[in-house]
Amino acid sequence: MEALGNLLFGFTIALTPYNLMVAASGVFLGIIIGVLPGLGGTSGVAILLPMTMVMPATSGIILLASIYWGALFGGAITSILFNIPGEPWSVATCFDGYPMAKQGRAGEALASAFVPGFFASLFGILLFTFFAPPLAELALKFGPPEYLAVLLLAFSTFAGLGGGPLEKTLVSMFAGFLLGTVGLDIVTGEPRLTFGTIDLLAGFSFVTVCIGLFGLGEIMVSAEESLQFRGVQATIRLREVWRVVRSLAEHLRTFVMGTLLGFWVGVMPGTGATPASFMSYGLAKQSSRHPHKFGTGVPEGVMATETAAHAAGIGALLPLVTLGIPGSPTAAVMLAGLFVWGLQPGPRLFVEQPDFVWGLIASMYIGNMIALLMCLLLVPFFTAILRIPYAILGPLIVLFSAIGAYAVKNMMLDIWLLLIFGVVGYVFKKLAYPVAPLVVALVLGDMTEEALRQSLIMSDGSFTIFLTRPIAAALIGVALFIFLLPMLRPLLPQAVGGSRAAPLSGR
Amino acid sequence: MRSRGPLLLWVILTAVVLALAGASVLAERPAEAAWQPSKPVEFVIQTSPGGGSDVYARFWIGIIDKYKLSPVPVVPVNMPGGAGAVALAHLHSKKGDPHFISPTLNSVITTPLLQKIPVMYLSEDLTPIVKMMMDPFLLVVNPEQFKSVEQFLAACRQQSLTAAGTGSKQEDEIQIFAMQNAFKCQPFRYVPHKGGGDVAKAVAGKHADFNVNQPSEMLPHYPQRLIPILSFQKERPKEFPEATTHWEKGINSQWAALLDLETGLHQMRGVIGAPDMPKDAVTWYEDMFRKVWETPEWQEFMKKGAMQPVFMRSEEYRKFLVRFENNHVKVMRDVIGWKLRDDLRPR
Repeated sequence: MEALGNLLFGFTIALTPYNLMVAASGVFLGIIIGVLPGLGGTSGVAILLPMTMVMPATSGIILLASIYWGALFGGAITSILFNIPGEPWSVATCFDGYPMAKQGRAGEALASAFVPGFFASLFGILLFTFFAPPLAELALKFGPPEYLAVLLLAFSTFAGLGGGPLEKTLVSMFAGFLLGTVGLDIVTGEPRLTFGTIDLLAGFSFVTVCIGLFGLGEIMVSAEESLQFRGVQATIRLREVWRVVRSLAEHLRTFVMGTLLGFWVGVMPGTGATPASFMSYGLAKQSSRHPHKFGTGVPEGVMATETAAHAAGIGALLPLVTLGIPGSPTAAVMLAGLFVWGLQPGPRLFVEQPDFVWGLIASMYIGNMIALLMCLLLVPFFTAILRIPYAILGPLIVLFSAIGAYAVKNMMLDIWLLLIFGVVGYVFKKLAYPVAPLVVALVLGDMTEEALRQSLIMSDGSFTIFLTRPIAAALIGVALFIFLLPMLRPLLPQAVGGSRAAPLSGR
Repeated sequence: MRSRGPLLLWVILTAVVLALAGASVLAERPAEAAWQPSKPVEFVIQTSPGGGSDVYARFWIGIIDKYKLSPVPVVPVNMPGGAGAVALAHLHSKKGDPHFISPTLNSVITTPLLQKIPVMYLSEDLTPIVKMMMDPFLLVVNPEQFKSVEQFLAACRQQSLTAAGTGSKQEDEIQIFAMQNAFKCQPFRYVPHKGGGDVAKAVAGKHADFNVNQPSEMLPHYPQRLIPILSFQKERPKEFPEATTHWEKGINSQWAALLDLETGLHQMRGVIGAPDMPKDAVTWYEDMFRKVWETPEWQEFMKKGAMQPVFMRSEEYRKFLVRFENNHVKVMRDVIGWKLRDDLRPR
């Protein structure tokens, strides 16, 4: 109950008119930053960091955190409307969000992103409020073998996602792994597949590849088909929001799973929300009654991804405040903020700077609420964008995509890569190769390789390290089970289908 | 005819005002500094937003903005990749243009010695501007595992210990390797991580036995989960008097010098510029960063992080870099036996 008192104290700080104004402007800026492709929350927070030096520390962190919340909400908008993931963790939002938008259900798709996202944030903030120190303690127990286990879990849930024939999924996935190996190898410090060039030492950035494959590829296909968004609904009715809220109860398992996964993976330093969003989507699909419909525009797909992403956004701040380790790249910039304001993160921060910590926590509730309201009010405006003739909209998207790709590393090469991956995306689409496995492999392949090799260095090359550490062994067991589940299911149709006591099989 | 009068008057007045303005500009000019940036300064950062060097660059930019130290904006431009290679190559391509600067960290020394990029030695191929501080190395362990350096040394001579460090073939690994030789430990297992925070976490969570880290990275976990047991400097740091110095351990003096903060290796934060930066531009940056260095914000930051508050101007920094680079070549090539770039210019 001590936390409750502290939280109330925090609200007295976060609810001052100045801090409220700071939070509202942060959220608004964040939404805009999230909407622009390529320019994610990380850049937004980084751009405004020097400005916060003239503010009190608490207002500074409220501003930066609010930008983060705004960007989390805004990132979904581009994924749904244009098939361009604004952030790595909204890639999976495209899978169902964009088909929904094409069917004229953009409003519904946006609501399915915002409302569950908000509730996931709320759930995450509650966990943060009451359990931050023990959760930080638990996060420390996760070393390289446990990271590998979590990543394997992500791959296993995502294995069946390609949808198409297995060989095409494999081709796509291995192309992703191959792209992921380009650059400086973190374990040996040697360049790989750079062909002696300096620009390739930086490797392929996820943002460029993704915007190219999804965004540009889609634009080319759309241009060819002279796409028209059918019957775009101009407003979002309160009834629609309410329907999404009620459907949360229906998809309670997806929601809870997504939130918990997202929150925990967010808390694990260094991974961020991306694996969580894929895992959540994959799990939602596997446990769904109609998995084949995923990817054609089901709201649960959007919901699963967004709950995980939002919960992870909250989770990422936990190790930042309690351990001084950022849980995500955006949190890393905020860590810089702590130093700039002269604060020392760690357990003592709660004791020495209660107004900062509790002001931040209280502002999370407020910031997310503002973000939800703002987004819902802006939905008509966003959907109205889709009524612009595609002949005008298409080139504009290309322009913003190019700016976004350039902004990642400030390199001209990325614009060329964007164009190349646009063509690759188009060809993939024409030949019915799934794009998602490539992206997943590119994002997670690097992390997975790192975790595997770190673990093997720790154990002098012995794989028993994955069996002797209980958390890692348990998670790998679960990953194997999920991976084999689709193959096992046809083998025992009676056993699974006939048993009422097997709710997880979910036929 | 009627409209002519006011027009004429306006022309004359404008001419007078312009002339006065021009005269005042001309009159003021000699009093001003010899050089000032004429367009926004590009601060080329080697990491992504939130990375080590990015934090410093944005912090300095914040101070510059707050105290209005520059007439033009200083713009952070992130060019991550290749452990600094991409940013260094970019900076090198701006030869003679005084509007391009970059924060320094140790990978700008190690990367050009390993990768074939246009820059090889910072002190020769780019323009050193200022050094803003030295960040000392501490030998950090989990107190549940080791209480003192004696315990640690006894253990490391018995068995292979696991070390966590940032990156591969970079400062942490070099320092750890040098330590292994100096103290005659069994070969360490070196587990590379992405950044200093991860490295601290690895030891705090007991996934590694020790790291050599900067105080600011250890502090969030100090003293419950991480303690410094050895400091690599002449005198014990006043913030951590419990940390014995490596000089006290009676090792070979040549090794001791290589491990030392002053004569050997440490994390250094400073600023470098494009090659052949004109002398008066260097002076302007020196003066500006001196003002940054003197602000209470930066002083407080260094104090909180237990850093060594040194400031070096361009020439002194260059001389320091020459010795620093030579030390690196010596340890990396001759002691550890890494293959440096094959076109390395001998010195």
